[in-house]
This record gives sequence, C-alpha cells and structure tokens, in this order.
Amino acid sequence: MYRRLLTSLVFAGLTVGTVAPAFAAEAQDTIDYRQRIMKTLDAQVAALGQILSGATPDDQVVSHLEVIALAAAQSAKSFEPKVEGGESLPVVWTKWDDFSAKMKDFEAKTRAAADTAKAQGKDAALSNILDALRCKDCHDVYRKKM
Amino acid sequence: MNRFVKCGLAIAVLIAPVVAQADDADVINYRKQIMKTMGEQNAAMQMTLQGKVPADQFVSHVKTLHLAATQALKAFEPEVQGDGMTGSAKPEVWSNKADFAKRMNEQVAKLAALEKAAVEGGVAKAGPMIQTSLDCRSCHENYRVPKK
Repeated sequence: MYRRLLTSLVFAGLTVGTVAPAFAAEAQDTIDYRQRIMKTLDAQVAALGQILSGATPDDQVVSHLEVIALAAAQSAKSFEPKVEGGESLPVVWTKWDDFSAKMKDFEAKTRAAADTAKAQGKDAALSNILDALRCKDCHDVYRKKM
Repeated sequence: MNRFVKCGLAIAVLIAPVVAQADDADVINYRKQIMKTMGEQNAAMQMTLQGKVPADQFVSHVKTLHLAATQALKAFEPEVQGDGMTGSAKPEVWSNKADFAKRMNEQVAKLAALEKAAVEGGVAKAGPMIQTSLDCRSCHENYRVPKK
C-alpha cells in the first residue's frame, strides 16, 4: 500500500513538475504581451509629446493618434486574462469593474481623437488630447510604483 | 558694427552648437520611439502567430506596423546620424539615400499589402505572407550600427 502511495506521489510530483513550467510560460507570455502593448503606447505618446512641445514637425500627428487608438484597444484586451505580474497590481482584477471602465474610456477617447484628426484635421483633435491621454488615472492606482 | 551686435553674434555662435545638438537629440529620440513601436508590435504580432496569446488582435498589430513603417519613412528624412550610443543610424542611410529610401518604401508597400490581406482574411490569409512582408534585416544589416 505504501509502495502504491509512494508511486502515486512520485507520479503526481512528476506531473506537476512537467505542467508547472508550461503554465508559468503561458502566464509570462500574457505579461510579455501586455508589456509590448504598453511600450507601444509609451513610445507613441512620447513621439506625440515631442510634436506638441515643438521639438518635431507635426506632419505625423494623424498617424500617431491612429496608432495610439489601436494600441489603446489592444491594451484593453490584453488585460482580460487574469494574470498578475509584471507591473500590474492585483487590484486590476479585484477592482475589475473600475479598471475596465477606465480602459474602455481610454479606448473610446483615443478612438474619437484619431477619428477627429482624420475628419477635421490635427488641430481639432489636439485641442482636447490631454483628456484622452489620462494615463495616470490607471497608473496611479493599478501599476506598481517603480 | 556696434558692441551690442558683436555681443549678440558672439552669443549666437556660442549657443548654436548647443541648440543644434538638442535638435539632433530630438530627431534621434523621435526615430527611436517609432522603431521601438515597430519592434514591440512585431513581437506582439509574432506572439499571436505562435499561439502564445489569442490571435484576436492580429489585424490591429498589422495595421499598427504599417502605420509605424510610414512614420519611420518620414523620421529618417532629417540627416542626423547616430554614433551607436545616442542613435543607431549609420551615415550610409544618407550617403546611400536612394537605396535606403527604396528599401523603406518597399517595406511600407509590403506592409500595406499585408494589412489588406489581414483585413480581408485574418491570420489565414496574411499569416503565410509574414515572412516576406517583414524584411527588417534588409535595412538593419546595412544601415544600423550593430548593438554592442
């Protein structure tokens, strides 16, 4: 009997040992993917910031706003899997309703800015851009302080 | 020439390199943000193809890559070279301008075709085109200072 129990425990251990890294890899993939998207947002907002500060010509504004809108939609989706880690605090998922409402707001406002830029030109879109790019609303509450 | 004009010119001469340097840093930073966008979105798109994450954002990643490639095309117009530390663009970007621009334009055109296929048929239609549509090495091997 002890022998059978021991065999079962060894088998279970092997199974856990085999499955655990695969699960860990999947969780890490989810985190890596999120980070890729957040880095995209960071890069494009920085590029737009350079334009707004006058350091760079403004001929790419419409394109930057479209990329930001696309990446905002990507980011909203990328947080759906409940995988803690990276720079995300667990509160992302414990206060999911609030977090996801903020992300949807971000997605909608950046989409509106991109569409306005295409339809009415960059000046119309940029007049209210700071209201669309309220990154701190989430970062202050839901991101680890680095 | 009165003393004030002389003084003003002297200050301008002293300040000019600082201002030019700041402008160059802005040009390089801007390029870097765009290349970073391409790197991150390419990696994210590859993850969808490898089955590491759901593929529902595949089309969005392709669209983003296409837009970023058009941004890159514009971002390399100012002739500001990197030194491998502050920026990675080799002088050949501008000394072989016609070849570099041709490669960049080809990349934009390939990504436009990829986006069209992705919108029409998703991963099934665009997936097989990925390898030939993303030819980053074509420029990086010739025009980027190797990473240390």
